[in-house]
Amino acid sequence: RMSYTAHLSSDQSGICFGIRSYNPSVSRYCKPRSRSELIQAVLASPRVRHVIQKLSDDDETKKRHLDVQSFRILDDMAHNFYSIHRIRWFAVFVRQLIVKTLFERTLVNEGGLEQLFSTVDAPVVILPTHRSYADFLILSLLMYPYNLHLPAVCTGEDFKAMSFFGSLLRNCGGFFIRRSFGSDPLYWSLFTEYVQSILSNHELPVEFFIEGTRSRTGKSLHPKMGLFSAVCEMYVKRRVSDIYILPVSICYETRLEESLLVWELLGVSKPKESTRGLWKARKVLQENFGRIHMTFGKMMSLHAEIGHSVDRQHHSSRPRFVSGKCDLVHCEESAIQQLAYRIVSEQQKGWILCPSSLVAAVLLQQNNIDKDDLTEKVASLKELLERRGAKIMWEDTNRSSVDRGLYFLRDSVAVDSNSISTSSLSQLRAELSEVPWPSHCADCLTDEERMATLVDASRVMTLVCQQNQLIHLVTFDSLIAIGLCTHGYLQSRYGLLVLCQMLLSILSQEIAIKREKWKQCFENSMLQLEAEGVVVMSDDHSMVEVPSSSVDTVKFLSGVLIPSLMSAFLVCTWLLDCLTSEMMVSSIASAVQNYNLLLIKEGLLTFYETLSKESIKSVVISMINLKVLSQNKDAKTVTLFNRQKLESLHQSLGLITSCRCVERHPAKRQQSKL
Amino acid sequence: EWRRGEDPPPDTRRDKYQRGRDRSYDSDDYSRGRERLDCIYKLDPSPLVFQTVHNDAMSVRSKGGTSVSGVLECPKDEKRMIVSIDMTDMNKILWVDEENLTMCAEAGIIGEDLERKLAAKGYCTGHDPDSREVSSLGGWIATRASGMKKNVYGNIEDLLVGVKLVTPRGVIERSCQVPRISAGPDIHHFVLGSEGTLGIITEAVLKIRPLPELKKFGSLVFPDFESGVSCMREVARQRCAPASIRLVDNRQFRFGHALKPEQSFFASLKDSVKAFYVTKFKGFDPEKLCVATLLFEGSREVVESQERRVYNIAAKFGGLPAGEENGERGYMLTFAIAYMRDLGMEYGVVAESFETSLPWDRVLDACRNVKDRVQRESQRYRLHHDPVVSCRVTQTYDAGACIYFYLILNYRGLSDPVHTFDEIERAAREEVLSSGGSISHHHGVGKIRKRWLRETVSEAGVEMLRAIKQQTDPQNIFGCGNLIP
Repeated sequence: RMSYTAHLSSDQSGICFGIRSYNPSVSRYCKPRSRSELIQAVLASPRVRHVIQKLSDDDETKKRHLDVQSFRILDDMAHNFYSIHRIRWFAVFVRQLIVKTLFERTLVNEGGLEQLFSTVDAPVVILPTHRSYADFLILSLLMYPYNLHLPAVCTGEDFKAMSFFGSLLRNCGGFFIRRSFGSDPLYWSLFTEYVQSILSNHELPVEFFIEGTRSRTGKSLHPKMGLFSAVCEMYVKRRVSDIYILPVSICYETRLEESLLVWELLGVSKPKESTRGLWKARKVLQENFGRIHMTFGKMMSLHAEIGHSVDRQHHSSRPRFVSGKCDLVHCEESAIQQLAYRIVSEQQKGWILCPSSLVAAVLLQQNNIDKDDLTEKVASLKELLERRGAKIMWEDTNRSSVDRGLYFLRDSVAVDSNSISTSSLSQLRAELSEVPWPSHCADCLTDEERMATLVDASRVMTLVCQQNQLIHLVTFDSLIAIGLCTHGYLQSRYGLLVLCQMLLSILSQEIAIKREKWKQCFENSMLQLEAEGVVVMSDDHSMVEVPSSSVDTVKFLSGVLIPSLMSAFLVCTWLLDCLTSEMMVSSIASAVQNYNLLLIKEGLLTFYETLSKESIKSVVISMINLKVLSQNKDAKTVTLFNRQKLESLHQSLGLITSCRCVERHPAKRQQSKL
Repeated sequence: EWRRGEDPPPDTRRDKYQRGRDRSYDSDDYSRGRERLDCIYKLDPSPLVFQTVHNDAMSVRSKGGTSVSGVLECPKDEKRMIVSIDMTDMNKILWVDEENLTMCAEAGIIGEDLERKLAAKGYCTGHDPDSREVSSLGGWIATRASGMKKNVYGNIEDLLVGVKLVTPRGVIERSCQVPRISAGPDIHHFVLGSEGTLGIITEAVLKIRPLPELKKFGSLVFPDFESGVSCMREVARQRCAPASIRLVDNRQFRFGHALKPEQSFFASLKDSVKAFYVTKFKGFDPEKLCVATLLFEGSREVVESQERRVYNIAAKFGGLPAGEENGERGYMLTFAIAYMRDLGMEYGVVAESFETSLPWDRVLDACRNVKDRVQRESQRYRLHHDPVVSCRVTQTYDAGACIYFYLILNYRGLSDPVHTFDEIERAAREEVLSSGGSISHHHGVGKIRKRWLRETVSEAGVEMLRAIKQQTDPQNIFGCGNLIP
């Protein structure tokens, strides 16, 4: 069992913390250089020269123009890292103003962190989870008292614009990249070379988020391959003999920007990042955000992980700079992708759950519950999760843990003397039987009505985000449970597998597991459920049955994913009825949200989760992947492509979410078009 | 004229026996318990003889001087009797043609003898491998050898004008002695690097040159290995490399330094700069600096102008001339290392060398990667002492360089030193290949690098080699098992 040590919140005064000795050991391969030397080295690299050569068609003017452009890009991008004063400033600032004021404690598994001491002579890539803006600040801050190099952190370009914060980040190793530069070969080559240059000179560890962006929902995201491939390419082409990868899980009891993120999920436009905004946010949120847990996972060596799939003939027989983008062969790409998914699952393994997640999970399924009942349910959920390898932060007693959990959910739940209710959930939840066409049309909803519903939804979404932290542990259990609930608690094993695969293909955007692994996860989950006695197999292992003693457990498990499937069902309904012409994904999301708002307004729907534009979009993207919709890449619009398939998906989802059929009102559809 | 089972004369036996021995550690020839036959008398191998050999179910191989690729190991699955042919008595120079500057010699002649005899006539071949005291003319051709002074004289393939290879199907040779020929793929290139798989090389015609007027050593000291490599790259770019230019890394520099009998490296800097100047004024770190040794050959003017150019280039990369004496000692050290290996065994030290060729842009990365990999592997095997990996750049070409690695391991306290060493060495070789290096620059494939030949020359390439072997020696009389995987 890992032990965690409290850090960064000791009573040491800011001044003492600021002037403590800081002298991280330097690799013997490192040639110290200044920011401008780094930029010059990148500009002079064969990769960048090659791309500029290609783009300029040997036209001198064009070439000079590209040179200037490259310099500007790099000057915008590069970190500024060569002053110890700046680091001390950063350390004191972040510690005093953010960590100490806002959070109770920061707990770190030192054993994991100490792995960084043994890798002075090898390049290290730190891959933390990304749930909050605070992630890189806290991780960098942590390096300071341990006398380790602050990593060079890859962050989005939008931070650069923030007046004070942007330069603080830059001075402490932050470098800024554009959010999307998919097809720009010059940008690719500059950025790849920049990262590789830092690593190959053994200057600093590089830190980036393998999920690519902050997970708003709290679920793990599918890994993004761009930057990770750029790092792996360096090993594959042997600019270095190995690279170490350190997955880190940074878990918050509550995120600083939780409420902002919830609104973002609902699609209310996100305020632009500005220092003033952040300052204001801090003022407003000057309260207790609980604990931070940081788990440093097991260090992985790229050589050990992907060494066997490197095609060295390919790379030995051509120069190493030939492409601006990464030049990898197929088997390397798939090995790298597999590794990326493994890193995500390592991050999940290191995840520390807080009581609020468990409490939220129970409350989402049962409103108006009294405290004893809640405590009992949370305790049994805790046991269930621990059997699945969860690490849970727990107080001395179950009761105090539940109290702690409720404290951090205080904005979303109403606590009477003894009963707890989530202010906006009614008991209807699973009793919805039909989704008729709403009698109002979207225009009839006034702004106030709309807002009021969305405010309710935001409360629910807060709970959902909390629950999502544990969802990776029970995803397959929940899918199996849904299959069993749908078919009267008795179903063939094969039928369950097929159903799970169908549901996964719809939810695939939100479940960070590779398609190839689905079957294995299903089997593991079956074994687990069987061992726990939640399901019973027939003698020939072909049929799965739920004994009456575990019906409650199965119901609970199924309830975890039902809202997502409901959301998918409503998307399908809307697509069948209303998608007549080409539409942008974002306008589909708004339209579906409006449709759901009306249903809720009329009391026909109680799943506030279905208002999340994020989940609507992810279902639409799944539909594109399933070739139900076809996408026009240039115009970014979609059209209906396979109506038959959509109808069959709609029917299956309807069965699962126990909505029999949708009444069609052609007249109403006309109305809504107007 | 060869007789089966006859004992060699007592005085020569040990010597020959020793010579024929494979100079790698893993040589179990002696424990095989198989009848061995040494033809120590003069032999004129002809196809007819080999036919007889086949009828007697024997496998024939020629004995070599040195072997760093396991070529002389008996193939493990060979059931036939193995005949080793000792070529050392075929050591005459047959003729010297002073008009065309060529000479013909029997293939068993040892490099040292060949040069001495030619020098008496005022000539040299200029082929000067580090092993020239033990390696033979035939061996050079069979392995595609490379000489230290290739910048002036060329490698063996550049020197070779004619060669006679006796195979079971007949003698392969070119009917004319011409400087160049366009007659299909060069038949010589089937022989060069054939590693005893096709037949026995009995004689060869090589180019010769008049002995150089002047031979001068030199040395340069660089602040670090990187600047040394950059300098060598520039020398190659300007094509002004002297007969030999070699760069040893800091490790080897310090090792050589430790071996010196009297004065230190810095004391011998007297004719150029003082130690104080190098370490204090120029700020060279003794833990980082590295040394290039130079050998100039040719007429006085050529040597002088070459010296000037090389030293000018070196100055651009922070190199300082460090005197003749250090250069000469550097070359002595390479000879010494070959002998020191056996000495090291007595003290619990195993050492192995391997070499590779690389494009210029990968030289530094490869050197660093190999050192890193060995370090990591040794951590994996929990060695009590860190192994030593040292490298030197020994040849420069237009498109790349030849790198020589030494791997030295203290095996005291290890439960299975042979296995551990093998594993670490294997990892180091894999790292060389992954870093873009070739399986060998001049040692050849032999048995220990066979497994990498397919990826090196492609599947079809191996089939081509196999077809040549099959056609030339269908009964596999030359069943030495080298080269072809």
